[in-house]
Amino acid sequence: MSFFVRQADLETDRDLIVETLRRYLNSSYDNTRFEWCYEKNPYGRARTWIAEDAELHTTVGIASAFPRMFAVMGEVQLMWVLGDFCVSDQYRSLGPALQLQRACLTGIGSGKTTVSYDFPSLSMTAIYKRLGIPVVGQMVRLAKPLRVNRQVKKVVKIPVVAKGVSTVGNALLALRDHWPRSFGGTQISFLDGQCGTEFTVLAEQISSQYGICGWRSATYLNWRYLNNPLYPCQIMTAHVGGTLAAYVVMNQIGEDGLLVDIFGVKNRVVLRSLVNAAVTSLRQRGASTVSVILCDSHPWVSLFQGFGFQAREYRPIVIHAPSAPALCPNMKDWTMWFLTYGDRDS
Amino acid sequence: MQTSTVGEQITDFIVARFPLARKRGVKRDDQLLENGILDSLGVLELVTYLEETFEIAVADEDLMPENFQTIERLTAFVQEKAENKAA
Repeated sequence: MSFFVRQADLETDRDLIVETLRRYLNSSYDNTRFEWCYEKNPYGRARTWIAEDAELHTTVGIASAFPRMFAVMGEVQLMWVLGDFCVSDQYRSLGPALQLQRACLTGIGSGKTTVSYDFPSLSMTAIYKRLGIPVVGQMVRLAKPLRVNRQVKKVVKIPVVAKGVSTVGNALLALRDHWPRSFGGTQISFLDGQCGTEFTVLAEQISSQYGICGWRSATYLNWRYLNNPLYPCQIMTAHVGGTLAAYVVMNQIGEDGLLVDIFGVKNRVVLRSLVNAAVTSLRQRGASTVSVILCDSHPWVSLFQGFGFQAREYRPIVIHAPSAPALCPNMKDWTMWFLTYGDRDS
Repeated sequence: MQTSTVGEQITDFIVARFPLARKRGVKRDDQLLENGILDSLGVLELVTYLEETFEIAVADEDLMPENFQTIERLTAFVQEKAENKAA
């Protein structure tokens, strides 16, 4: 059995990439997602490597890297988020995966900046371990219950009683979150339409306060969240004195709400107002829980815990920085990073 | 190094370590990768076990499907490695 790895051509290999991703990674990954994720990213097109069986002429696997701009100590730099990695079942002996991911890392490393990161699964962590790329930190999911119906239903088997208990429990949970909508002059509202220049201005003003954080320009936010074909999001903003101070990106799948991204000034009152309004909105739409996924060194983890969110599961993060930018020689210092779920590939 | 002993040790490890092998049982010619008994993480664990137990070094280029497809192939691979080391 022999195989080789080659860089993909996004035009001629498009069908092969989409089909392979659908087969081995996610059956909902279609052409629309491909166009959005691989071609329309405002920071550049994705780069993909394909492993092929030399004898059978079949696809063994795929690895991709997606460009992201990050503010590193205030200076905007290109980085790569690694993703869409998949290998056919019969080739999952580690060797093909190693060669594929090594080709991907070497390929993106040929540019000026070579910093890349990934949110790997446990299996993928094994590949990074073998490649000598260690886990540097963890993402933590913080969750907050909004309704008790699911839990009550498990314990109380009589429907009428369960409904009564749930009503009381839900009211108590809602009461705990009571917070004035415009506390301290903070005006909260849903963004109507696309993000405008005020989002880029906010990024310019405060990104430098957060060490290494995604460069959230208006163009990027529109592409990443509002034009996302698989998981369209809504953005809720907090304005103080008419100026954008913070925002939260949110979506809901079934009864589970997710704060996909949150960014803004380091002001507890503003953030509390924003998170409370987002939580209230999700509750009104029938969400039973709300989660936020942040790096465990994120400065707002304790803030969310203060808002009633509790740490649930942790997932690893790897950072590959063979030639780090001069501004930040120690890119692997986990406490420098300000990552949210939104910094994933899609 | 006896074939039966090496094979038995590998089988014991796979059955003890991987739930699917324990649940279904595993024969010497069962497809470990295609049947989902081993994934990347499993292969990594298995490699560590082989290196420590049989005192062999497994290089990246050894991590090919043909060496890990079945317990039979794994046994042959370990014996070949051990013989190369001894020679």
